[in-house]
Amino acid sequence: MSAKRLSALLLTALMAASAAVSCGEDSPSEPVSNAVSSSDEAASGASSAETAASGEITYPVEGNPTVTYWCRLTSNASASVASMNDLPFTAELEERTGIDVEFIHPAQGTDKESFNLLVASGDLPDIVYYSWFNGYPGGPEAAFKNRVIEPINEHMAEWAPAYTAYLAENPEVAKMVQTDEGNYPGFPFIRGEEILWISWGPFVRADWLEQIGMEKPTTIDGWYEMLTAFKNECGATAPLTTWDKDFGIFNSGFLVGAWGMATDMYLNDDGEVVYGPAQPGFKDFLAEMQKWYAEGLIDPNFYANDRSAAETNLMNGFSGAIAASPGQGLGVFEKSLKEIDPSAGYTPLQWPTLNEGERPQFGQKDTYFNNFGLAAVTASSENKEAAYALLDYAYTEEGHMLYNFGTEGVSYTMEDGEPLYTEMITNPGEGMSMSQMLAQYTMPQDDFPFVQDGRYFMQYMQLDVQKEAIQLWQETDAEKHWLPPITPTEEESKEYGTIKTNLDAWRNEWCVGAVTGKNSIDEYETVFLPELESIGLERALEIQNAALERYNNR
Amino acid sequence: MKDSAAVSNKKRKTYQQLSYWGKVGRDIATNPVLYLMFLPVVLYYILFCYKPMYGALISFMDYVPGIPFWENEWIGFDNFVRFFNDRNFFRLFKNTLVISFSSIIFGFPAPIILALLLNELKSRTYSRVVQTISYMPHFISIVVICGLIRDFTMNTGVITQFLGIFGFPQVTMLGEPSYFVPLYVISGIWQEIGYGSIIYLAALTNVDQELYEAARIDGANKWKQTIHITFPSITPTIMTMLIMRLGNIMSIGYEKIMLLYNSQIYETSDVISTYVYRVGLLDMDFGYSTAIGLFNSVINLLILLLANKLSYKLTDTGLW
Amino acid sequence: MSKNRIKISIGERIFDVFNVVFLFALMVVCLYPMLYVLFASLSNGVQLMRHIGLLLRPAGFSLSAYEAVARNEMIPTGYVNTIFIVAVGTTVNIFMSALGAYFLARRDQTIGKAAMIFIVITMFFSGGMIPGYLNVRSLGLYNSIWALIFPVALNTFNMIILKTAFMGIPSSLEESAKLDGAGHLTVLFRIFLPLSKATIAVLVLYYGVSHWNSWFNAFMYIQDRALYPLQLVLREILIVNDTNSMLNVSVDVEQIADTIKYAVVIVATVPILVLYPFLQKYFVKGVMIGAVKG
Repeated sequence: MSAKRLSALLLTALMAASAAVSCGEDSPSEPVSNAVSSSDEAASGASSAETAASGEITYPVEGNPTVTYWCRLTSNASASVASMNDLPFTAELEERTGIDVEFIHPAQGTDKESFNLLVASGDLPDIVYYSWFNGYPGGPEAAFKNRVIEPINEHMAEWAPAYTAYLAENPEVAKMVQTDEGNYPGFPFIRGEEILWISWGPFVRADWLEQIGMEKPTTIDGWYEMLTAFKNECGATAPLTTWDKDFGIFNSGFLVGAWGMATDMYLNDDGEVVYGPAQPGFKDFLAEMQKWYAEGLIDPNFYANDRSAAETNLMNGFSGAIAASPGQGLGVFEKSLKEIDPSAGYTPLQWPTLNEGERPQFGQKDTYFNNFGLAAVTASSENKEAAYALLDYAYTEEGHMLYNFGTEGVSYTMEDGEPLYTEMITNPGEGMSMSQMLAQYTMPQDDFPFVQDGRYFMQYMQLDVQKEAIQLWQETDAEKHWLPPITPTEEESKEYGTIKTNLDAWRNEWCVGAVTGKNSIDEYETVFLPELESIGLERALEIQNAALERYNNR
Repeated sequence: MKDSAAVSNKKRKTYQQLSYWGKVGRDIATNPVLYLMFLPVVLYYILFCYKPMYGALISFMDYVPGIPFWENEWIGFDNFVRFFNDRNFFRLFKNTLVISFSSIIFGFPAPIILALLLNELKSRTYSRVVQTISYMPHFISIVVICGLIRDFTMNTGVITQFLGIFGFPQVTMLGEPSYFVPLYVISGIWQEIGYGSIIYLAALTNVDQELYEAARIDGANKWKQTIHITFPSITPTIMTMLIMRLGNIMSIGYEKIMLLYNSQIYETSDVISTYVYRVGLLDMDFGYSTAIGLFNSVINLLILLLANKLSYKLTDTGLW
Repeated sequence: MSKNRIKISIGERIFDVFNVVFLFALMVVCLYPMLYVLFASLSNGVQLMRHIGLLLRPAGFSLSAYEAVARNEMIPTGYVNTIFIVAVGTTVNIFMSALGAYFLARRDQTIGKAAMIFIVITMFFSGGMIPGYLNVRSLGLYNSIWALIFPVALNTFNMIILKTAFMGIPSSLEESAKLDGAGHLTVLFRIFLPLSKATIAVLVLYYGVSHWNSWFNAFMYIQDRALYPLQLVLREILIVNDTNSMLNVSVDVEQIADTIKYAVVIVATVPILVLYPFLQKYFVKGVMIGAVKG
């Protein structure tokens, strides 16, 4: 698959570039010399194969230990089982590692509250999988201080050789999953490849483009022309719609990115954190959007929309363009629209730029680790070594295949060196979906501590238009501009939280009014900016830049 | 209901000379069964309400789960100061009161009127059917209800179109700050009128029917009967409900507002609870959110005490 | 008593007609949300997405939402648990409320006012989620169905409503019973409760509905999924279908996510709706007179 090769290449290049970056003084002390690093294996995050094979941990481990494990029940698994204890995946994991796992799940949708209660009770299981970086007040360092969990630094080389090796080979990832003080809180969920980082992008009606005889537009002017034609020739009353209310239509730098900024905090070209709405050029963007809105190119209710409003607009042909996710957005809309009119359909567009031929600077792009979750071993655990061994297995080659593809011969087979899901997974019987089958044998659809494999993703996407979209949407330099997972200190994070809420509220209040024409663009300097300043923009940036500096020094 | 009537004159004299606790002791000695019956209630309040109440002290702490409760850092009134100093404090406070008072002024009488109207229906079957149907919206999740409200009040929505016949502008109502409070209040009445009327229907069953007979013989019409017989009979219930409703003045849930508002109408719709939700500190900063909760509770309690006093003055009924 | 009506003025006739018409309009307006939910739950997912304006019948017809809900194996267990909680919990509630209201309804207790304040304070000040949770653990109720009954054994608001009703009972009734040698328990259960049937019916409804709808305590106090009440099970179905998860790119289930939402409302609501018509027979006028005369 060319997509895979391309991303592997990109990743290799990326790693070569980052090889120069030091891991910092607290990096794993034991360099893993025998790790093999072919580009393919590195790309899939399984490069520590040799380490595991060299027998530092021999699975199954002896003594048949039992480990208790708190994590949320993934939504796809819950369709068929009440607990992960009942999954074939868990049975296989237990057999291979020789460790009995006892999963404890909070009720779905109550993760945060349940986590707080769990921690407050002081009665902790061996492993807790949670967003430790932003979910615990003060982050992992506070959790260490309060004796909730322990950094794994001391024992990781010995008890978690595969993960240690993985970090040694991926210094960029290692930087993300440690604290400013150089401590590793645990075992993270990592999206191993760039194609896994894409979850948002613009798409438009393909049949309408054909009808108006336009190529796919790439620039703002092209978009303007297209939306105007949608309105005049295709009968659209809200040509560009959205499912996010307030200013969400411009999320991820959609449209605004052409002017060289996002609507939120981002890194500028000098590597400083700045706030988009206060940047030069933002005013021009607002003026252009005011024009579009006045001409009826933007959904008149964009600031009050929700998913169902967007659905109504799209399915009735009131709208022909939106930026949304590839699954619940593009996938669902494409399939539904085809049921209404088989000749209709969507096509993804690249992130628009100001000038023809420019590479988009903004767009949605995630990274290896984005605070999704991290499995930490609790300070009170009496089975630490077994807990490490269980978690470390995910980063071995066998573990990597188990987590991503399941059991060979059951849920996947190897064809020409490529793992392919079996018929049982891809085409399950009545009433079951591929997601639900995957969730029984594998883990890649949900965040869980392992390295997600891009080869899963392309097989998982059911529609060609989705695959096309992912390829197109990743063509940006967004990674240069998005903030890395930086962590303000505990005190700062409260202060920052309040300022940021007020900044965003004011941005939504004033800027939406500017787009709808309620506020005059001329008041950008006289009303909008001074208010941002008085809310505390400067202080917010100071906190963010200090956190960024600590991050860069890791 | 005068237990003490059974007590002899001589004893009563001494009873009045007793100290407060002495009197209580005497009461218990006279009526042990009564106090034994009340014991489970007291136990319930102690075990499930008072025992964990120390948690309100979180307002004065920098509380972090995982640290034993009493070892958390005490920070005095910092959490409160932070809230009062917030630039939006005044707007949030004002909106909270405006929405709450409007809901009470228009929303509180609605179920009473419905109950009275139902009471006047000649057909019991019809009355039952109306009751059963009008209470249904209470059971439909707020998410669904708000979805309907948003849908119907869009510029192309059913309600907007309908009002257009009477010359109302065809705008998205939830984009106009001045429409928010009426929409919030009216939809609240729509959802709760039937469920809220049940308690008054129950109170109406206790009205002495002979009074009506007598009034009719005296030639009083329906309206006079309602004013002079029905209404006074259910006044204790109305006052009880009103006082307790007033004691909730600061407690506007965030959910419904979150589902209805957007940045264009923050100026009339943003309330304390939605702000706290947006700050995103509900889960992270227990001290701050508990402090705001405590602030609301104190105001609620003060208003309840005031309302109770007024109620005694005006109607001679109250909570105690 | 309507047959005894002496004269009906024109004004009253006009009022009666207006009343019937107005209440009919109100009924239509209040019925619509339920009908909407019912129609939406029976709709075809795509047709529903497309639908604009009033939904007056299912948009397309499909039972797939109900099939998806029924596939969840925890629903029968959820029903059983919830029915147990509603039945036992409401009984405990009524008993406790009656005991409390009986005491508070007496004006001659020295401690009456203090007791009322002791109780009202709890309506305003609570320890919050974490101390409440630790308390339930320390009482040994954690992960037991009783944790969904005892911590909510009494609702102050409801108890005050009952107290107000008790206070409306003429004291002559109690006094004559006392003369016949009745104790407090007899007075409460033989005189007060039967005379407050309508209010008790309201409380049964209030308590029953709140037990039926509650899920928050269950998530805090229950770990064993076999003890989950219905609402928690249904809430999970909603959450799972509603997560705008960035990770999820699956299409097949998402198309009917909306109709599932509505089917869940129907499954969760219809059984409890039946409670009210059943309780309506206690809303009979003139009970009091019969009691006094009898």
